[in-house]
Amino acid sequence: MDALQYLAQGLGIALQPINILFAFIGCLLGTLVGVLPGIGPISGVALLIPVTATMTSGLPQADAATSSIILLAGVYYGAMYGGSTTAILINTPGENSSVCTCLDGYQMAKQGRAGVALAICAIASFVAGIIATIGLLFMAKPLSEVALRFGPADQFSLMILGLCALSSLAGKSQVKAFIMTILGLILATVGVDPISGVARMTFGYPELYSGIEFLTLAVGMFALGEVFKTIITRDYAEGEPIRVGSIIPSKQDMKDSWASILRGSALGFFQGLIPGCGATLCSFMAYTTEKKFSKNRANFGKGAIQGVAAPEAANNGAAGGAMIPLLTLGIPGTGTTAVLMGALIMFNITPGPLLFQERPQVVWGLIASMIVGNVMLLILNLPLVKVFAKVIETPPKYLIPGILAISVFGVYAVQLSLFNLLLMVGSGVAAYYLAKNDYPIAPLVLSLILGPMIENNLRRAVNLYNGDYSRFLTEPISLTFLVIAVLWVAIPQVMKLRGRRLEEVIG
Amino acid sequence: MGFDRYASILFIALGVALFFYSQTLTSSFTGTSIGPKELPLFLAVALVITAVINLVAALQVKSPGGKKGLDHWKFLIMVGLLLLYVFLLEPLGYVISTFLFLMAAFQTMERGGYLKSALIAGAFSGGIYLLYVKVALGVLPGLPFGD
Repeated sequence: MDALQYLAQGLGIALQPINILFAFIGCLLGTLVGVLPGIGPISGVALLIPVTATMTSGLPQADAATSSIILLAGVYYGAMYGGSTTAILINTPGENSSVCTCLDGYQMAKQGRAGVALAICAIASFVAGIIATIGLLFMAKPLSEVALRFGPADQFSLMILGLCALSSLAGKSQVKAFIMTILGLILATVGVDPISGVARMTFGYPELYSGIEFLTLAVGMFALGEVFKTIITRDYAEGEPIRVGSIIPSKQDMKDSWASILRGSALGFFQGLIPGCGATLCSFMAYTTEKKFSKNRANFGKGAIQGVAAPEAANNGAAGGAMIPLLTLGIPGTGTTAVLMGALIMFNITPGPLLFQERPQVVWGLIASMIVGNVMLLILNLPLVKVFAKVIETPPKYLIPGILAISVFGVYAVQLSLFNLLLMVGSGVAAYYLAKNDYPIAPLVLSLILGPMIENNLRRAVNLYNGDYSRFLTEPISLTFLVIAVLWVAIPQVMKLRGRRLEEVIG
Repeated sequence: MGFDRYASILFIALGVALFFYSQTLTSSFTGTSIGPKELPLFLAVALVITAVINLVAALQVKSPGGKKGLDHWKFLIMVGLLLLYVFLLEPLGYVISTFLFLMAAFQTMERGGYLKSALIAGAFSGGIYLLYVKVALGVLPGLPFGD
């Protein structure tokens, strides 16, 4: 089969010693990122971009891109593993998608079954990761071949759909999410226009001629923003971690959880395909679904093993599923994949349908490395879970300034510019206040990345159709994407209005 | 919410400013294409419209009280230290500025443990410099009195 041939090709790349090393580093750092409070997968990936750029600077560009993205993807799904450790041991989720794991995981720990809970999380994450990778393997190429037939109008409309989807699901208020999307698109126009050579919003500053650097904003808004929030809210992981004990689940434990693992994996994977459905939402839905269909519903919240297995499988399944729209369509559906996309673009690799034709070694190397990475995570997490439990006790006194120092190092090492450091600090402060008041950051970063491509496709389409804008609505694929985008935005508003009217009638 | 009102007004002002700024940009060079002016113009209008909707929504909501137990002082000190660090990075070099920043930041987070803080700060700043500059041959501001 073609897919297996590509996988073999990819394994040839993923199993090169340097890529195995990078996958290992990514998985280890990702697990630490998931375990440590004050830093999540988005900020972890953003912080590591300049570090990986430096580590791979001696390699040819394609190899540097492959190795870097293998490391960064390892951080992404590694963080999904690591987040469950603090959720189970101290009832504090290491990152957002592990919130559900606290509900039953901590209860299991109080019953002396912390080791079993951690082991089930590791196994669930492994199974979900493998299922997602198999899905990616079989769906990626056919989807990219369909996408190759898209014209510039279709590409433009698809990106608008991606922005609308993420904005609709990104936060509590759609309007605020759209404001952030528009701000991101405005920031994307800063700099010298590559087609006309006209400087836009540079105000004579040479540092702005090449535009606002994605890396600076990503590290500032995600890493610094999160750290500032931790400092202000004193959101340190406190409390003595519960003793881990035996990490070997019994036959009964496996029998009770295998179906939840498979259901969670499938649910997470398919939801992850949808832009805007991040790992957090997927894990919540998996938990709710599992509880709804369970014969022992009353046990949920009291230490039900299914309540740990399903959300953990879902969040890793979603992480894998989210790679599909990123790699095949060039549409990142979550904040983390948006940052991964930014990383790829930094290496002059543009995700999208042409990626499979022009850079097959990057994409198949990445897909194959996800299998390698998931095996590594299972090997790392089971025996090292007690070591990771110790890491939770890192004092925030040293951790928080350390993250700030790494951020400064990372951005300066790549940009060599004080202007970018000041921009990083400023964007971190802005991100804290914006996020605190429910203005989601992910749409801004996503639109900063997609902005130049949106404008480019818009210009190409308008040139191709001789200024006839109606072609965006008459081209069937473009019309379909735009209709879906409108429905995606309108349906939640309509449902909200109907809910309010119903309240008025009842009240 | 208070923040929403002020933010919306700021976004409206930004949108209006961008609208007038866009008028100064060159329009398309050919009759049928989109030039550098069109997208900023469209985005300016879109920003004003969404910000007005947000402002209307914000005016209809009562502002809740501020949350207690928030450590704004520590945050402001950390931001101040970060800015000082950025400005001193090149004059003092990476090692010294990072060491000073970390010492000050550690003490801001929690007073005490000066020796341990100094050891960790020294190990971090020296370690990163040695690894990155001497091993990986990267570029960071050197010591002010030469290497």
